[in-house]
Amino acid sequence: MFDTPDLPEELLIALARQRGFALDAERAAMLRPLAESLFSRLAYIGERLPRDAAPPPAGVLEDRAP
Amino acid sequence: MTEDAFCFLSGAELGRRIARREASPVEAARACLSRVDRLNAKLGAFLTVTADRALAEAATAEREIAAGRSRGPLHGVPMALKDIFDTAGVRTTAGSKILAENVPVRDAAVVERLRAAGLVLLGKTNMHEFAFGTTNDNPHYGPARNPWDLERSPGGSSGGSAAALAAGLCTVSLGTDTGGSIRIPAGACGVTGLKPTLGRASRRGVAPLAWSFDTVGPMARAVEDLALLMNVIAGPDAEDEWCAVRPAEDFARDLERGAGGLTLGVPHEWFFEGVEPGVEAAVREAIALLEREGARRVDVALPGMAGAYTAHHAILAAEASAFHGPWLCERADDYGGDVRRGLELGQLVAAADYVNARRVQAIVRATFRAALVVADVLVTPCLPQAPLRVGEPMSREPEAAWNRLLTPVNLAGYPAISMPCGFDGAGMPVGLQIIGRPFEEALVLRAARACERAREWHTRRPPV
Repeated sequence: MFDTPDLPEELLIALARQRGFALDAERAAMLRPLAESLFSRLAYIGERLPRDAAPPPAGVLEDRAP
Repeated sequence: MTEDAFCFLSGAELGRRIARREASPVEAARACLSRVDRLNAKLGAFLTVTADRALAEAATAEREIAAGRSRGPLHGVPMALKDIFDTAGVRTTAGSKILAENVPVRDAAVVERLRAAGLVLLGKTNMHEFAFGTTNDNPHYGPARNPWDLERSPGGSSGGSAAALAAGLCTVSLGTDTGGSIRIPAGACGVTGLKPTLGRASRRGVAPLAWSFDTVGPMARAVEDLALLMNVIAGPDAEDEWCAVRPAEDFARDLERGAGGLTLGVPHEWFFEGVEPGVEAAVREAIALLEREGARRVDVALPGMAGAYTAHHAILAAEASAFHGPWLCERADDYGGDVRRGLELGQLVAAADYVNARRVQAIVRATFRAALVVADVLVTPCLPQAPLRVGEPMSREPEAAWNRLLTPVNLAGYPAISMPCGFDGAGMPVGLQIIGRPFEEALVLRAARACERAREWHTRRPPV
């Protein structure tokens, strides 16, 4: 359905090192399909967001009447 | 009345009998503790049992009531708390190895309120590690099991609470819901659970999973109990900036008004796609039943739910990994495999993707808001399928995940209940989800009570 990003395990290991946690090859292999799935779906969403869509206001859910 | 029958009274009914001095808080606590002794090894529902303390609290409640000092309708009623709520002097693990020795010095805000209302703490219930998962397959303390089929998961993350309620090990409980963690186990175990509006109840003293979604809510066997628990826990808390300033209200006020005049919105797209036939049949029968009780049904559109699922997943994983970052660096081996993978994934979510997910959140809120202009409440299945087998991993793909009908509601921040509405062909409970407008929990509870009153599915007991 979506273009799957190419996230080789070496890249995941390098990204993990940047963020300060250890990821060995075995764990990177387990993580790879999850990461490819989530990030491909996020890319799909990102490409289709209306340009004027903004995040909701910070804080507690506003409770105005619908 | 037999001891076991005593354990299956609703909290409201037990409270009434205690108030009339037809039942004793000490007897109630003893009856539940006796079932815990007999059944907890099978169910794995409790991580910590505070028997001596419970009996002492029950004795205090009994003396207070005898002296005419009632603390309210749940005074003396036994409760169990998900092990994510800080309890002063009682170990609070969040289902983790990392917090295995954690003994808080102060109760969570909602626990303070429950104690002030005179409820009796039986112990702390099993949960998915750090609430980051939906199966309750806990690698550190063992899985909780579903009382309707011990080979199946009770759901999670508040699975121990739901299993304990279904099996009559406690009368009421509290859970938390970030991505379905109250509604999933309620649906899987045939009990009721309410995820209130984001900000309805204080989260002070509750281990966070994802700040944007974490919600504290009641679990019980009867809708009336949810209303009474909401009366206790809801309301502002100056120590929690996420807690709404809107004052608490009487959530039980409209419970018996019935379904007459209510408009039920039924979103067919997404919420009825890929749902097992036995589940769909039970849910459609519940909708028809509410129509016979006087509700009007309208079809509503809720587009974009696959994107909502993904946006929720990204925000949850990123926020959870932010909280857990230091432990992930220093104690990664102390996490279970699925939680560790989820946290690692969250560390890799790019800032732009996180912000885009928040932009989706605004769109999804607007979508729910529009649907709830034409309907008073939305009615959907809770889980699309029978509970997973113990040890069976949950898919995170939007079309296959068993919490996919629930997380869009977390993304919106709206209130929703899961309540039993029948059984599938294998004899497993089916849950009905009723979603309401922000801060309209009382209306959600009214609709749920109308359904419960018409078909008393909640009185069925599992074969344990």
